[in-house]
Amino acid sequence: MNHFFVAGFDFGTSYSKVVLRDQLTKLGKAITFGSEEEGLFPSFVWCDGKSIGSPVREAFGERVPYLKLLAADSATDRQDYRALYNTALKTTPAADLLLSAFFASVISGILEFIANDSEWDDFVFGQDVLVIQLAVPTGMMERRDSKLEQLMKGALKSAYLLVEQRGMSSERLTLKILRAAWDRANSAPENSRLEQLCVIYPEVAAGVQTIFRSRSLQEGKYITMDVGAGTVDLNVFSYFRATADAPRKLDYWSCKVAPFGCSRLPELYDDAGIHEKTGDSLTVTQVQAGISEAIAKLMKAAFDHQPRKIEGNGGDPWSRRTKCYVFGGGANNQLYTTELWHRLKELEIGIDHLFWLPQPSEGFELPDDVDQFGRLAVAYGLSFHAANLEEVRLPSELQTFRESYPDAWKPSKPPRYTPCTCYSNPDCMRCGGTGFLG
Amino acid sequence: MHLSLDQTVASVVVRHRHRPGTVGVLTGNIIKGIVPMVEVKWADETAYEPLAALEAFAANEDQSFESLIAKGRYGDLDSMRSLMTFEKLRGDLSNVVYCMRTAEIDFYPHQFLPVLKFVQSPLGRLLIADEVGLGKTIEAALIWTECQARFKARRLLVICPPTLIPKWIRELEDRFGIDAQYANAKGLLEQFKNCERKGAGQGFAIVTSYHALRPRRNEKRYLQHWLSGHSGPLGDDEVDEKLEKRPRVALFRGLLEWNHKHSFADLVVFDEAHLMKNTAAATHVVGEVFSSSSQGVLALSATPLNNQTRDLYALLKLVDPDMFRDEATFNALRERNRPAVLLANELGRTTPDFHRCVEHLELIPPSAAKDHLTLHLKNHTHSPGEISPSDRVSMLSKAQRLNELGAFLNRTRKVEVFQNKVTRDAVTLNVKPTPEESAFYNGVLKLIRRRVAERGDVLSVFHLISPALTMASCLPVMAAKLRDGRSRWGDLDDLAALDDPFEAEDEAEDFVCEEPQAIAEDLSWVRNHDFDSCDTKYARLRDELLKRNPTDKVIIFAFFKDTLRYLQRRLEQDGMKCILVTGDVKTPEERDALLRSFEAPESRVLLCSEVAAEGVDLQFCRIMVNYDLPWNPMRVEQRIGRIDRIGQAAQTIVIINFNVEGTIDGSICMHLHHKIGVFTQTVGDLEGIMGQHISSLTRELLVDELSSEQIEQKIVQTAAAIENKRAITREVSDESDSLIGLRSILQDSVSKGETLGRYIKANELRRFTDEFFAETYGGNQHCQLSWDSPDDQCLTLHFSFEAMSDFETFLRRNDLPWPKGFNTKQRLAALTFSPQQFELSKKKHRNLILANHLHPFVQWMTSTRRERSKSWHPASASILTSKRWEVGDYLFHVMRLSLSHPAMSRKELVFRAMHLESGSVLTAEDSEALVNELLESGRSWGTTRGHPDYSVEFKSLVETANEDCRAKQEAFGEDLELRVNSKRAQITNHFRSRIEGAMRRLEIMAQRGDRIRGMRLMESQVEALQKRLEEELSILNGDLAVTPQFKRVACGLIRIQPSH
Repeated sequence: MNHFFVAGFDFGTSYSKVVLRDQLTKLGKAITFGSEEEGLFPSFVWCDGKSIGSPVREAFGERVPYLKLLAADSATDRQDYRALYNTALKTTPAADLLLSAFFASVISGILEFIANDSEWDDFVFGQDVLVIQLAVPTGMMERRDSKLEQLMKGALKSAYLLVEQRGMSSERLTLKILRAAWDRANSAPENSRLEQLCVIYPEVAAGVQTIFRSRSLQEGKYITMDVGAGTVDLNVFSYFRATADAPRKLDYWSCKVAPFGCSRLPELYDDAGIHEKTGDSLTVTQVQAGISEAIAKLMKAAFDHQPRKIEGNGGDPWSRRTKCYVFGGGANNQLYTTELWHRLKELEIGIDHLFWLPQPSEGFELPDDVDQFGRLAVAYGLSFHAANLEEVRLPSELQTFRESYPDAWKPSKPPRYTPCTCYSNPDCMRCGGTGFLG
Repeated sequence: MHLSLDQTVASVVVRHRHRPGTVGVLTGNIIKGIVPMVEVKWADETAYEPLAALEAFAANEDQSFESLIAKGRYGDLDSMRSLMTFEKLRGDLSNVVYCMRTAEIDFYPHQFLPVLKFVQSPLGRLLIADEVGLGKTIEAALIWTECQARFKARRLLVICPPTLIPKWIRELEDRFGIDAQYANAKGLLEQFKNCERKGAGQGFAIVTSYHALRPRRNEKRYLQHWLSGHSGPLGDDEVDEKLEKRPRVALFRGLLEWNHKHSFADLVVFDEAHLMKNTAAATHVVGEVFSSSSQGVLALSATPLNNQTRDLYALLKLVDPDMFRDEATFNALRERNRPAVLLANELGRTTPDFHRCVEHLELIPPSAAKDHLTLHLKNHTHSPGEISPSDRVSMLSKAQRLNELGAFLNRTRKVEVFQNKVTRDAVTLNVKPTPEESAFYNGVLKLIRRRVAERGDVLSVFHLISPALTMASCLPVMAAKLRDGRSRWGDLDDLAALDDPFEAEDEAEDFVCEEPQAIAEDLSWVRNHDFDSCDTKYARLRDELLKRNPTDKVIIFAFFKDTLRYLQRRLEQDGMKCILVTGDVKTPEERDALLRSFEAPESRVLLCSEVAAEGVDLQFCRIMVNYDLPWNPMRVEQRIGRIDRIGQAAQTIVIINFNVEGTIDGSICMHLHHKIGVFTQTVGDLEGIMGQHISSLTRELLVDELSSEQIEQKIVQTAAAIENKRAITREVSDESDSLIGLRSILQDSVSKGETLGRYIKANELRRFTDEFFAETYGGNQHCQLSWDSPDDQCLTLHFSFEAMSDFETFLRRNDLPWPKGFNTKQRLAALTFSPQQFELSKKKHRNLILANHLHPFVQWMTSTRRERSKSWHPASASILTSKRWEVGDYLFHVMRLSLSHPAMSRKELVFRAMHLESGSVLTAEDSEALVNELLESGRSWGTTRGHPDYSVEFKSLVETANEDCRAKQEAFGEDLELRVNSKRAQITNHFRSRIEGAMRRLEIMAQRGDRIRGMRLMESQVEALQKRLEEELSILNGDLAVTPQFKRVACGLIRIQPSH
C-alpha cells in the first residue's frame, strides 16, 4: 500500500468542499475540481427525470439544487425547505438516487485530482485506500431516528461502489443503474467493506476540529456559527475531559439550521443565481430577524437541556467559560457576527470575543485562490481518520448539566482554595508551589 | 524496520516513518480493518496511526547527516522551518539583520545602512548625518532594535529638543512597540540610582530633552570646578550644598564618577546633535557627559557637514571623545586616512588604474588585509583587463575596511534614495499692493530712518529688520499694532530660537526696535484705513486655496504669531477649518494633539511657525505655502522638509510663495531664492555658506537706500557668490562621502538581507509559538491559543497557571517588568507578530501587543527552548514550485560557522546546494536563496516511495561548504587584525585620557591639601582604570589565531517543479 487517503467531504447547501489527507505522511490538500474555482464543487445535479448527471459536466434536463435540504426533508418526511429546492420536473427522482449520483461525481472529482493535479499520481484506486468521510448535518436531525444518517451513508456507499465499478466516468447515470448500485451497496456482501470506506460524522464536530487539533484547546462551552451560502448552522456543545489521558468528549446540546445563508443577502443575491429558483429576495432586516430567531431557538433548546440556574449548585453557568467561533464562506459578513454578538450578549452568555477559526500552520495546503480557511474548516476536520476524531454524544445521550458540570465551574460557592499570586511557582514559600492557599 | 501486527504490544517504542524526528510509545490499542490502526502516545498527543506509517525505533541508530541521506530518512518541511527559525532566534548570526521587518515601517534599504555600520563599528559609536526627511528617527530605533537582539542591550536614552519628545515616544511605541517614557533630570537621576543599585540587569527606555538636562550657569560653573579637583567647588559651602542637591548636578557628578563595569546607558541617542556643536555651550556639556558614560552613542543631525570641518570635528568628538581628542588628532587622522579613501575611490571607477591603486596602498600602514589586497592588485597590474563584478566588490570591500574614519559616520543624501523621488513644483503668486499698502510700507521704513538720524544714531539693520519683516509678512497686522499702540513690532515666534533654541535666548531683545507710538503720529491716516478688507496678499491666498486647490490639505508657514492668528481668523471666516500651532502651545503633548487633529478630514489648513513644526512629519500633505519667507534658505529647506520626506505619496509637491512687489520678501528672498533654486532642489548643506552673504545683502538693501537696478545687481552678485561656495562645498561633501565609504557594499548587503530572508518573519514566529505551547504546555497545563483572534494574524492567548508562572519567573530573573497589555489577572493577552497587522488593528483592539522577536514573550519562549535543548529532525524532503530554478532535484546542506576571538566574533550560516541531474553546485548566495524560498513557499514532499542514496553527492557538497568556511576564516583573520589594531589604539586612548584626568585632579587635591579620604578614593579610581586598561590590552595582545567551530544545521532534498 503506497497511500492511505481520507477525504473529508463537506456537503454544503450550495457548494461542497473536500480536503484530502494522506494518513501515512499526514499531509493534506484542499481539492480543486477541474475548472471550478476556490476548491468549490457546486452542490446540484442535472436531471431529466430518467437520468442524473454531474454538475461539472454538460447541462441537460433541469438543474436540481439544494440537495442537502432535499435530503433533510426526505428524511424527516417534511417540506421545510421545499421553497428552495422546488423543481419543475414532473417526476423528481427520490433523494437517495439524487444524492448517490451527486456523491459519485464528487468521488470522481477526487480521483481526477489525485491523478492529474497532485504528486500522488502513483495512487491506484482499489489497491491503495481512499476513505470518504462525509459531514452529516446533525442539526437537521430533529427526529432522532437516524433516518438522515442512513440516507446519507447509503447514498455514499452506493456512490463509492458506482465509481469502483465504472471508474471516473462522465456518463449520465440512469435511475436504473443508480437503484441497482444502491441495493448492492447496502446488501450484506459489500456492506462491511463499504462501511469502513464510507464514514459519516456530525458536521458540528468536524467544523471545530481545527481547534481540537491545535492541542491547545480549553474545556468549556462552545457556540459555533457556520455561515454557508444557503444556510446558517448554529450549534452549542460542551467539551471536556476529566484528565489529560481521558478520551475527549464532545457533548452536543443544541443545534439550529436557518435558511439565511449569505447568498440570500440582497447584494449577493444576483451573483448566486438563487432568484431563478426561489424567487424570493430577502432584505437585510429579514435575514437579521431570521438569524435572531434562530439564535433564540438554539439557546432555548440549550437552556432547556442545560438550565441557566443550577439550584444549590451556584449561579449561572452560562455567564462564564463560553467560547464562540464563527466560520464558513460568509463569516466575513458583519451582519451575522454583529447579530450573533448582540443576541448572545442579550442572553447574558459569557463571551469575550467572537473567534475565527485559525488556519492550521502545519501539514495543510490551501488552494492558491483561497485566502480564507474558514470555508474549508468542516472538510479539513473530516480529513483526520475517524479513530482520531472526538466522540460526539447527542442530547439524548447526555447527562444533565447538574451532573456533568465540573467542580471548577462553580463560582458562587466560596472557593475551596484561594489562588496564590505566584502562579504555582515551585519555589513559592506561601503555597509550596501548588498555586493555591488554604 | 517495519512493524507487524504481532509486534504492536504496549510499550514498544516506535517512530513515524515520514516524520523521523517523532518518537512515541504504543499503548496496545488496535483497530483492525482494511488498514490496521494502532494507538501511539506521542510527546504531545495520543493518536491512532496506520501501522504502515510506523517503524520500530532503535536508540543506537546512526543519526549522522551522511547516514540520513544514505537511508533517505527525510522529515517534513515544518521541522526544518522550526529548526531554521530557532537558529535565527538565537540572536547571534552576523549576517542576519535582526531589526528588519520588526517595525511598522516601509522598507528603505538606506535606513539599514547605519544599522550595519553601527554593528560593525568597533565601539558602537556613530554620527548619522543624513539629509532632512530620510528617517533618522527610524534609523536610530532600528539600531536600538538591533542592539537589543545582538547585544542584549536594555537601557536606551534619547536626548532631543523638547518639541520632539512626543514624536519620539509615539514612534517608538507605535512603530517598534517600545514603551518609552519621558523623564526630566530628577527622573533620570532615579533611574541612575536604580541602575547603580541593580546593576546591568536594569532596563529602561527614556526620552528626555537637552533643555531638561542642560546645566544652568552656576551648575556648570560648579561642575567645572568640581571636575578640576576642587572639593568645595564654588568655595561657598551653603551654595555648594544647595547645588549638590540639584538633580542635574547630582546626576552629572554621578555619571562622571561612574565606575561600574556596565555603562549607564547601552545606547544614547542625541537627536538634532548640531545643537551641541558649540563647545562653549551648556548643551555641549550634556553631550560630553552622556557620551562618556554610555556604551553606544548615536548622534543624529541633518546639517553637520559643510565647509567647516570644525563642526564635523565637534560632533565626532561627542560621538567618540577618545578617538577624536583634539582637532589636530582629527586632522592627522583625516590625513592618514586619505590613501584609503583615494584607493576606494579609484577602485570605484569604471576602469580603475591599478598602478595608482598600488601607489595609494603603499601609503597605508601594514596589515594582513593590506598584504592580501596588494597581492590581488598586483595580479591585475600584471594582467590588466576586464575586472569581474565579484572581484571588484571583494577588492572594494577590502579597501574600505582599511578606512578608519568611515566607521564613525553615515550620510545619505536625498538624491541617493531613488525610491521616493518627489518633484517640487514652485508656484509664485505675484501680488501688486494697493497704493495705500505701498505707502504704508515705505512710510514706516522712511520714518524709522529719519527718527534714527534725528537722534544722531547710526542706522543699523536691527532698527529696520523687525518692522520690515512684520510688514512683509502681513500689513494688516502691522497696522493693527500701530492702532493699538502695542510695544513690540512683531511678536516673532521664537525668532531668536531659529538658529539655536537654547543658546541665544538672551539675545532676543536685540530685535525689539523703536516704540511704535511715535511713528503712529506721522501715519495717522492709517487709523482710518481698512487694511483687512483691502489685503491684496490675503485675497491672493484665498483665491489660490478656494479655486485652484479646493480640496487639498495645506500647510501655511509664517514667522509671526500675529500673522498666523490673523490668517486663522480670515480663513475660518471664509469657511476653511484651521489648526494653529505656534510656540504658544506649551506642552509637547498639546502640540502633538493639534498636529494629529490636522489629519482629520474636516481640517483644511495647518497654520504653523517653523519652530513649532520642527521635526514633524506632515508627508500626508502635498501643498505648502510660505506666507512670509525666511531669509536663510536652510529655513526654507526645513519648511519644505516637513512634506518632502520619506512616505510622501504624491509625485509632485507644491510650494507656494508670495512675491509682494516692493517689499523685502519680494526683493531679497524671492529673487535670490529663485536664483539659487531653493524651492525646486534640495539645497543640501547651505546653512554655513549662506548666512554671511544673506546678512550682508540684508544690511545693504535695508540700510542703504538703493535703486531697483542696484538692488537687482546686488542680488545677482550674491547669488553668484553663493553658487561659487556651493561648488566648493560639493567637493568637500563628496570627499566626506568618500570618507564615509562602504556605501555600495552595505547597500548591497542590506538588499541581500531582504531578498535572502535574513531577518525574522511574522509567520516564523507564529509557527514557533504554536509549536512551543503545544510541546511545553500540553495535557492538563495547556494554554488556549486562539489564532486569528481578535483579528487576522493575531493571537489571543490564555495562559495556564504553569505557563504564567514560568513567564513571570523569566521576567523576574531578567529584571523585566510585565510587558504592556498582559492581563495578569485573567492570564490573557492579545498579540500579533506582524507590524502591518498591528498598525491595522491597534485602534480597534486597544490592548493588542506587537510582539517581535525582541519582545519578552518571544524571548521567554526562545530561552525556554534553549534550556530544554529541543532538537528537530535535520533532514527534510520538500517540493518547491518556482520559475527561478532549473527543474529537477537538489541536495542542500546548511552549516553554522562560528569564529570567535575576544575582540570580535562572527557566526554565520553557510549554505550550499547541488543540482543532482547536472551535478553543478550553486553559489553560496544562490543556495541560500533557494533554501530561503523553500522555507517561504515550499511544501513537504509526501512521497512514500522512498528516496535514492545520495551520499556520494552529499560528500562533495560538504567539501564545497568546507572550502567556503576556510575562505570566511581567512577574511575574518584579516578583519580581526585590523580591528585589534584599531581597538588597541582606541582603548589606550580612552583609558589614558581618563587616567590622566584623574591624576591631574589628584595632583590638585594634593597641592590644596584636601581630605585624605577623598584622595584615597581618587587613587583607587586611578588604580581601577589602570587595571582595566591592562586587562583589555592583555586580551588584544594575545594570539590572533582563531579555531573555527562548525555545527551542521540541516540538509535535505528539494524537488523543483515548474510553475504554470
